[in-house]
Amino acid sequence: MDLLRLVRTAAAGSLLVLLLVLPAAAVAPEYRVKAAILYKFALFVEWPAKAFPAQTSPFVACVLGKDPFGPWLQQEMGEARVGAHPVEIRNFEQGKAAEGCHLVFIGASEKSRLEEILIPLRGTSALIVSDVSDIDQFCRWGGMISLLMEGAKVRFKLNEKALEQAGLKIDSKLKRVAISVDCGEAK
Amino acid sequence: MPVSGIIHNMAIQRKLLLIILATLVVSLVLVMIGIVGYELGTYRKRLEREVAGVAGFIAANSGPTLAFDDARTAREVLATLKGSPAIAFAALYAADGRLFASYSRSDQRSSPAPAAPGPARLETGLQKLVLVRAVQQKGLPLGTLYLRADLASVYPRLKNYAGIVFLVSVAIGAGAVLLQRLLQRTVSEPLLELSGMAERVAGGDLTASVAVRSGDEIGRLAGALNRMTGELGQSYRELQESRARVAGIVETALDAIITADAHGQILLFNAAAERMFGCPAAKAKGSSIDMFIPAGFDATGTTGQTALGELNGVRLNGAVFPIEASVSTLEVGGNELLTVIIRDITERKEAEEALRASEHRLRRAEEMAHFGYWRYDLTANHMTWSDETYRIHGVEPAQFEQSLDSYLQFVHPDDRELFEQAMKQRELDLQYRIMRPNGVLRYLKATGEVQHDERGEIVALFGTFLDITELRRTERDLQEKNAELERFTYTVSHDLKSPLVTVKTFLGYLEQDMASMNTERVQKDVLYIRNAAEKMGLLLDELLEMSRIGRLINPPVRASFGDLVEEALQAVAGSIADRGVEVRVEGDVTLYGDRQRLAEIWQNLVENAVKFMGEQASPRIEIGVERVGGETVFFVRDNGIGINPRYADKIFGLFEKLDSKSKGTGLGLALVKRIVEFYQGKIWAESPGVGEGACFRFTLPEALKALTESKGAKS
Repeated sequence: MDLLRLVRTAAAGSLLVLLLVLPAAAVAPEYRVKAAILYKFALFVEWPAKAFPAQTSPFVACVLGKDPFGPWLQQEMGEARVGAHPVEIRNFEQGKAAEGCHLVFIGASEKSRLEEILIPLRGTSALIVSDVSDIDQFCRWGGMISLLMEGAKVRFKLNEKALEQAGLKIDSKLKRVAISVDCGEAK
Repeated sequence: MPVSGIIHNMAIQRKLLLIILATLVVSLVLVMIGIVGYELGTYRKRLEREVAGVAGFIAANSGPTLAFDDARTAREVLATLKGSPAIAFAALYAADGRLFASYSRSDQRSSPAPAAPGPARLETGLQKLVLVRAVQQKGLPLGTLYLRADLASVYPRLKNYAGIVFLVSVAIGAGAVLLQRLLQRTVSEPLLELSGMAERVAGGDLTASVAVRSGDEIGRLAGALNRMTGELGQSYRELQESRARVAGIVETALDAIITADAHGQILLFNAAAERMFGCPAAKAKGSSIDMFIPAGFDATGTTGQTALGELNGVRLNGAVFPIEASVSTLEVGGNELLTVIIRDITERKEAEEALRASEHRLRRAEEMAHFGYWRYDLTANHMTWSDETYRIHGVEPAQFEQSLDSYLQFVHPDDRELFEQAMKQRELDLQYRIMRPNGVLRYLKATGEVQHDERGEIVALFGTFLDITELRRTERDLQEKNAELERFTYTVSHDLKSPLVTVKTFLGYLEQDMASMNTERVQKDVLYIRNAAEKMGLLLDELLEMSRIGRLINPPVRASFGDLVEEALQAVAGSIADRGVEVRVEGDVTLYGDRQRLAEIWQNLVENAVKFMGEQASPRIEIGVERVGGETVFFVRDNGIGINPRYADKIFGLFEKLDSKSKGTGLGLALVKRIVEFYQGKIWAESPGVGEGACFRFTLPEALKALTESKGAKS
C-alpha cells in the first residue's frame, strides 16, 4: 500500500512539476534529476553505524556553496527517508564548513576551493558528491562521486578508494551503473 | 476364464518370457510414472525456487539501473536470464509504471509485455509461472520486476527419459527372447524328456530310464525318477511274486478259505471251500456267507482280532456238518474284509467221540476189574496214575507226590526191600502189600513193561496195578476150605471107619455066632452093628447139616433174641431136664436172618454147655446179650468143666473133640462157628481154666446190621 502511495505520490509530483515547468522544459531539468540521483545514492550507500546515533536520527544531506537544486532537492529528498532516517537538508553558504553531514554536495561554485572543502571532510563518513568538471582534482582530494552529463542523461563516476577510506560501503550493483569506479583513472 | 486357461497350459518358457516381459513393462511404466510425476511435481517447486532466486538477483542488480535510469544496463542485467532457460520473459517497470527494460527467451514468439505488471505476486499455473516483485532500495520503491517462467524445459527432460526407457525396454525384450532360447535348452527340453519318461513308466514300461545330464534340480529329478522307476519295477516284481504265492497258498490249502466284505458277501472261495461245501466258486461268489455258515458269528469289530469257534456248516446240498472256524477282520482302503478259515472237523469229532467212549470203557473196565494204570518216567522221576490206581491206593490225586520215593510210603515196610529190589532189576511182576492212608492193608500185584527210546535206553516203565486183596482172601479161604475138606475127608473116613470097622467086626462075630446059634450073642452083635450104623447115620446127618450152612436156604426174617433162645432151649429141653440145668436168659435184641440157622447157634452152644457140665452139682447156664465197646456181643456161660486155655481155639475146629470119650460128633462148635462167620461175626471161648466153667461169646454184625439199615430206612 505504501509502495502504491509512494508511486502515486511520485507520479503526481512529477506531473505537477511537469505542469509547472511545462513551458520551460519537456524533460526534467538537470538538477531535478541530480537531486533524485543524490537521493538514490543515499539509498545505495551504507554508512558506518557510528554515523547514526539512533535508529531514527536524521540523515543530513548538505549542500555546500551555491545551491543549484532549487526546490528540487527538497522535493526529491525533503520528505523522504533514507531507510528509517528522515532526511534533513542543510545548506552551507560559501565558506562555511559542513559539519555532521552524511551526504555532502559540493556545487560547481566551489570548484576553486575543492581542496579546502574536501580535506577537512576526510575522516568524516560523509558521502561527497559533486558535479564539478574537474573530476581529477575532485577525486584527488577525496571526492567520491562525480556527476557528469551524457547527453540528457546524468552519469557518474565513483572513487572507490575515497569511499573506502571514509568507511562507506557502496552497493556493488551501483558500480555497474557507474561509468567507472576509480574516477576514470584506468591504471 | 479362457485366458487364464490359455496361460495355464502355456509352455514354461513362454510363461517365463511372459513373466519377464510383464514385469518389465510394469516396472518401466511405474518408473515412467514415477519419474514424470516426480519431475512435474518437483519441477514446479524447483522452478519457483529458481524464479524466486533469479528474481532476487535480478531485482537487486536492476535496482541501480532503475534508480539511475540506466535502461541499457537494465537490459544487460535482464539478459543474464539467458542462463535460466526456464525464464521465458522478464520485464522491468519504472516506478511510474512504464516499461523500463525487457527480455525474451529466444524461443518466444514476440508476445507483448504486459502493460502493467500488476501487484507483487507469485502466479503458478499449469503451463507457466509468473513472479512479480518490487524493486526497492532502503524502502524506496524503484520499480517492479516481472518474470514469467514456463515448464518448457521439462518436456525435453521427460522426452529424454522416455527415450532411455524405450531403449532399455527394447534391450531387455531382446534379452528376454535370448533367455527364452536358453530356457528351452536347459529347462523345457529336459523337463519334457523327464515327463516323457514318466509317461512311459505310467504306461507300464518299468525299464524306462532317462539320462542325467546336469547337476541341478532337473538332474536330481532325473536321477530320482530313475531310482524310483527301478524301485517301482522291483516292488512290482515282488508284488507279483507275493500275489502268486498267496494265490498258491489259498488254492492249495487244505482248509477252506473264504473272504467276504463287511456285509458278508463272499469275495473269495478257494478250492478247498468248493470241496468242503460242495459248491463251485463261481456260484459262491456274491452269495452271502450265511448260506454256508448260518450261525452268523459276530466278527469282532476291531481289525486283526480273531474269533475261534466250533460251529455248524451247511453244504450246498443242505447237509449240516461240524466245522471249526477262525475269523479275522482287516481294514483295507477303508473297507472291512473278513477272512474265514474253516476246517471240516466231522472226522475229528467222530474220533474225539470214539476216544471218549473208549476212555470211558477203559475207566469202567478198570473200575470193574479193580486194576489201575501206572507209568513211571525214569528221567523225570515222575509217576503217572489212572483214576483206579488212586482208588486202589486210597488217595486223592492231589495227595500223592507221584515220585518213586513217595510211593515207597505206601509199600508195607516188610515188602519195601523186595519192592526196591524188583524196581532196580526192572522185574516188573511182583506182589506186595500196601498200607492205605486210612490204615487198611491191601495186596497189590504190579505188572509192567519197559519203554525204550530210539537209542535203546530205558526211558520209562509202565503197567498195571491189580488189587488182589480179595483174590488172596478168596485163595486163603479156598486153601482153608481145602484144608478143611482134607481134614473133613480124613476125619470122615477116620470116624466113619471106626463104626464101619465095628460093623465089619461084629458082622464077623455075627457070622460066627449065627453059625454057632448063640442067639444072645447074635442079639448083642446086631446091637453093636445097629449102634454103629446109627452113629454113622448121625455123623452123616451132621455133615449134611454142615454143608447146608454154606447155602442160605431160608429167606431172612426178623426174629427176636428171646424167641430164638426159646426155640433153641426147646430143642435141647430133654438134655436140660435130664441134667437139671438152670437156664437164665437176659437181654433182648432183634435179629434178622435165617431163623433156623440162628437158633442152631444157641442150640449147639447150650447142648455143649449141658454136655460138658461135668460133676457140677448145680449146673447153671446164662444166656444173654450185651454191648461191649460199641459191639453187640452174645454170650452163653456155663459153670461146667471149662476149657483148657491151650485148646480154646482148637475146639472150633472140625471134628475136634477134646474129650474123645464124650458123645457127639465134634461138629457142633464148628457148625456154630460157621454160622457166626456167615453173619460176619466172631466167636471165642473164655474159660478161667479146667473146672472153672466156660463162656462162649460171639457177635452177629450182619444179622443186626441189616436190621439197623432197614430201621434206618424206615425212619
